[in-house]
Amino acid sequence: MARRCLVINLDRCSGCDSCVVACKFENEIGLGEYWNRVIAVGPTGTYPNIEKYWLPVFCQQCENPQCVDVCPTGASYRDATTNVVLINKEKCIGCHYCIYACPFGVRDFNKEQGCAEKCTLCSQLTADGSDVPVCVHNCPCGGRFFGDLDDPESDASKELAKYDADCIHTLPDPGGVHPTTRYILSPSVASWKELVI
Amino acid sequence: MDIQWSLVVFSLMAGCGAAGFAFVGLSELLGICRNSRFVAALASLAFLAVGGIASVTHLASPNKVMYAIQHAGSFSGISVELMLLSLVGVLMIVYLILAKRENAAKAAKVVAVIGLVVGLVMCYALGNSYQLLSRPAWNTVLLPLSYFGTSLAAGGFLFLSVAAFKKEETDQVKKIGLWVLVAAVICAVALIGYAAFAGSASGANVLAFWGGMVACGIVLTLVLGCGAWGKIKMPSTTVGIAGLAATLLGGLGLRAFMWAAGAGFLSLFSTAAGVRVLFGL
Repeated sequence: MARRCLVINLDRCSGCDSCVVACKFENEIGLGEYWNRVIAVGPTGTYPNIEKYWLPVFCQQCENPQCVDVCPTGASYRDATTNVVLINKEKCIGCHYCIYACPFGVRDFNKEQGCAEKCTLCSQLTADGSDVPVCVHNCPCGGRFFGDLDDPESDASKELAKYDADCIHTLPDPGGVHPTTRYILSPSVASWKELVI
Repeated sequence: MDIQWSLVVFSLMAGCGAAGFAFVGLSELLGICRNSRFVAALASLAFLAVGGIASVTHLASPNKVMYAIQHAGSFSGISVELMLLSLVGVLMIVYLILAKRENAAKAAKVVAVIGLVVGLVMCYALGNSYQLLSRPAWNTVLLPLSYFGTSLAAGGFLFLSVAAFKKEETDQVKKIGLWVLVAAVICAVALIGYAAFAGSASGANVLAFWGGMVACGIVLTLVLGCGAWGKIKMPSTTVGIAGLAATLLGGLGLRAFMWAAGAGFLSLFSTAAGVRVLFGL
């Protein structure tokens, strides 16, 4: 099965929030609600050896998605065609369990519609393979890549192939959820922080 | 993390109701406190109903709840809770009907014993759905065991209260009191275990922990459990009502503490909304 996801090259990310804004416009996300955010990691170290990087965060398209397991209505599901984890808002009863179960805290709640929401990898654009998510298209630094990790010809796989293993990271796994999103951060730019102390 | 009061009330009341009905089943098995069973089952049904209503108030879109019924086969935590809540409710109603019919004592006993088993399973299941990888302070079997213990003790004292009010014979009250003490010990041991596991969790609520879990859920519950067995000279009605109050407060403390201590493994959107910075200044 396909492992469609985003690959984020943190060597290139300037923390400009263009991905956040593009996401909100494309997906008509309400005021104060987000499917994608950018966190500053650092600055750390002591002068003159200071480092910092920007970390865009969103649904990690886990291989073992806890949100799907806990959903009582099947509103959170894995799409049979694209293998992307999605939410059927028509079925969501607003119980918040998927939000409690997400180990990364990257789901939000649509107060107007009374349902959970999250990054869909812009499925309305990408499901047929004709386009990329708007955050990828609108990244001014060219730091975001979309594609199937199991397809060596995808943009995501090609970008990863440029780097050694010590530059490629995932968010920490609390135990078998296997986040699919990959982050590229070269040690020459900054050292990757595991975030969980 | 914000305390979700609807879910606190749901699991507290529904747990007490399910355990109260389990004690009705126990009294049927032991052949004691015959006069108390109907009222105890009725009271248990009332607790279950209050809990069920509270759970619906948690939903943002309760009008779509039929999807949860259609998807019950997923056996997600909520699906299991929903199935058990419905099953225990039906068993209670059937028992109440049979208890009022002549020549239905055997059938009523069978239903009550099934209710005993299902009620106990439900007390555990109410906490089991919170055992999530994403919440380090919840990800332990001690949490559902604590839900089980607090529910069981509350149900025991509920039954004891009814038995005392119905003026059951002293030796029969003492017999059921022994089982209430067992429930109180299970409650206290489970809470001690969970307190040891999660007591130092960040965001822990001091009042819920010390006032609810420790003072009411462990100390008072154990003392009144001894009283239920007749080891403390107190009227049974006082022991029953005080025990019910103490275990409900202990259960409330557990649940409120759990939510307050339920910080996520990572809470990245919350971090972004707040300081926006990890590790740095």
